[in-house]
Amino acid sequence: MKAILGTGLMLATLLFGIPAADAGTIGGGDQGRCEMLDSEATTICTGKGKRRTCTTIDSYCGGAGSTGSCSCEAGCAAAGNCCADYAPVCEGSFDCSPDSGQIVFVHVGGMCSTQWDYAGDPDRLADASGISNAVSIEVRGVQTDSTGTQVTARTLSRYLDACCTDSNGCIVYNYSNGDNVVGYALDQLATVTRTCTGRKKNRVCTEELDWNILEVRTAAGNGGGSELSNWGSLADLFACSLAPEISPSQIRNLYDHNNTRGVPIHHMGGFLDQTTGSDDITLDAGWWFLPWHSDGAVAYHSSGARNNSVEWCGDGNNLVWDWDYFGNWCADENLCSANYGTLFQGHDIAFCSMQMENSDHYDQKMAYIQYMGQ
Amino acid sequence: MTKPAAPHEDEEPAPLRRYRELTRYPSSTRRITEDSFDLLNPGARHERRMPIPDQQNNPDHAWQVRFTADRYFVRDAQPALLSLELWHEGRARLPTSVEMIAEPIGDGATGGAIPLDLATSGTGVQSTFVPNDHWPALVGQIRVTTIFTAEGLSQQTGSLDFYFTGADRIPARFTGEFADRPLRGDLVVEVGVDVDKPGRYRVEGNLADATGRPFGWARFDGDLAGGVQSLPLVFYGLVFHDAEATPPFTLQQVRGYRARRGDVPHREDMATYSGEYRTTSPYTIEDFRTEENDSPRKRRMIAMYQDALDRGVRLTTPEYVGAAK
Repeated sequence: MKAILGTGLMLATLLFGIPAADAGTIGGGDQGRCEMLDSEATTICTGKGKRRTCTTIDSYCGGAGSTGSCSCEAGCAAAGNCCADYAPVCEGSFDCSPDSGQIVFVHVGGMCSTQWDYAGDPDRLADASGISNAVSIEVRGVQTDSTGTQVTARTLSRYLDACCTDSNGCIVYNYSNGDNVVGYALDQLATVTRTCTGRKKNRVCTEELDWNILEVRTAAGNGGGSELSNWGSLADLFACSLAPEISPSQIRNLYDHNNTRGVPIHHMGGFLDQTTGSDDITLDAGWWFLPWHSDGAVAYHSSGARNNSVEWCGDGNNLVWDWDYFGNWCADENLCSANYGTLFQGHDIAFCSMQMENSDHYDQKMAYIQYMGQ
Repeated sequence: MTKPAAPHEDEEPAPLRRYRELTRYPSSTRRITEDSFDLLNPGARHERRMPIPDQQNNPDHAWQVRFTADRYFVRDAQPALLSLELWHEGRARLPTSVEMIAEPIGDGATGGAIPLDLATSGTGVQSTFVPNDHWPALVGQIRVTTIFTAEGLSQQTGSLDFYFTGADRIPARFTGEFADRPLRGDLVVEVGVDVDKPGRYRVEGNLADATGRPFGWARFDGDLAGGVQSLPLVFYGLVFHDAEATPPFTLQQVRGYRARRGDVPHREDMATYSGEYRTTSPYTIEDFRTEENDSPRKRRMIAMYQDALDRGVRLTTPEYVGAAK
């Protein structure tokens, strides 16, 4: 039976991204970055009159990172103190070959992360070795402070501009809050070609995406937000400042989730069942705060890309007595159930059936890669 | 490049079919239905009744709480209505002490936190809060934190965020002037705006048919100079056929914002406009195009999908794309 555990605070922070460190400090807190928001930029002007010239500093490159805890200076690699996003932001280095007919598998991690593949963890990049002229890369974006979704989306846009345009094509894996990083980038930051026809009153313009993204593969997506984010001490359990920014109300109003610009966004998601629960004590506790069904961090309305925060069996239907649970259990356990909500446009569910039963939030990070085999 | 003949549905790989479905219309216009919750309820909130965490962050199943408000986006001098409700063992309970504190955390935030006035209403506690009274120059987030206790319940803390555009930061307003006309097989609705702050704007609206059924959505995304002017919302002709929409059409829920691309806060909202506009030109279904959206880019992507398949990329065949309408 799924028990109400005395969690003793195993600190849920690993929630979407980074591996465990010492008990109580999982995730390592906020990380410095080289990426800069427009409102953080400064313009310095020198000279007067016609000789007046202005320079806008729009990144932290060449100096200390945003928090001063890491470096964005040219010598940081030798010193071993580069901010995680130094290579893409300051060096323009993306580990792909632009405009070379390459197929690039791009990986975007979750909240509190700065990359996808952490040494010592079971996660890895998709295996592209069987595909001619293909490569797997991970986005080194700093998804930790309160603006982490937008900041990482900006960094992701650099990757997509470099790796997924002209003759290149991309497949984008993402996990958890990486769902929002990708969605925000597509809606708000996309590089597009604008074509206008007609003159004066009859002039209308259309935009088409420059990024050749064949599909997006989302595991345990947080596109619908997590209810754990907006309730006092629960949000405090997360180990980075992005945690209070990902509630359903915030995330669902942050960008137009339907605006995928023709890119198919495929999803898969899992749930903790009534008998076993999660082997992670925090996700097991998180389950009790989330709507039915959930993986301990995000509910089905989020991983299932529904355009409303509907709860499976929240209408009181499809409940059946379950002796293991010792209560009424929701018997409509399918992420694809048409009984509960409508998908965001452009989104769909890759795998419907019960493969992801008793799969907690961590378990799912690699699930899509494993199912696709590449 | 010549347009490739569309293969028979059975012959075309599923990922290509999916791509064609998703690009049936240009991305600036869509078909919607009564189930398009987010587009029909822009700014909806999503807080729900949930267990309260105990001291160890386990759920206290005896207690439940809902802390919510009537809107997410607050603009100009609009009020926001906040409510806190508590339940103990299924029965509504009033807190014995409660406070709510609002704090701006966006661009232009000055003045610090302020306590909100509270009133008991039914089984809960409410506050009517007008952010513009305190921060008319603010754009961005406002966070309201509530701290409360009840008999038998230790002190609890919850928070609620709003996205606020103060009166001094409203970049443009809708004038209430509209016009409509057919254009190259599409419907264009001209929307009048008075722009104070030039820049990149997004304006969108929903379209309902004669029966009141919402069926179309369109967005303008472009640069606007200052002054009074109109912008076009272009509803793609094929949407009218697919939805079997009958005229006249009514434009509803017009909303917009000035985009701050690559920044946080990322938008400055236009003033709310609650009016509707019914088209005046006589339309028949023959006025609207029947062909799918097509472009060199779309053809290039279809070739790219085929190339990827030929090179051994396994593309997803989704098992669920939504309920059939």
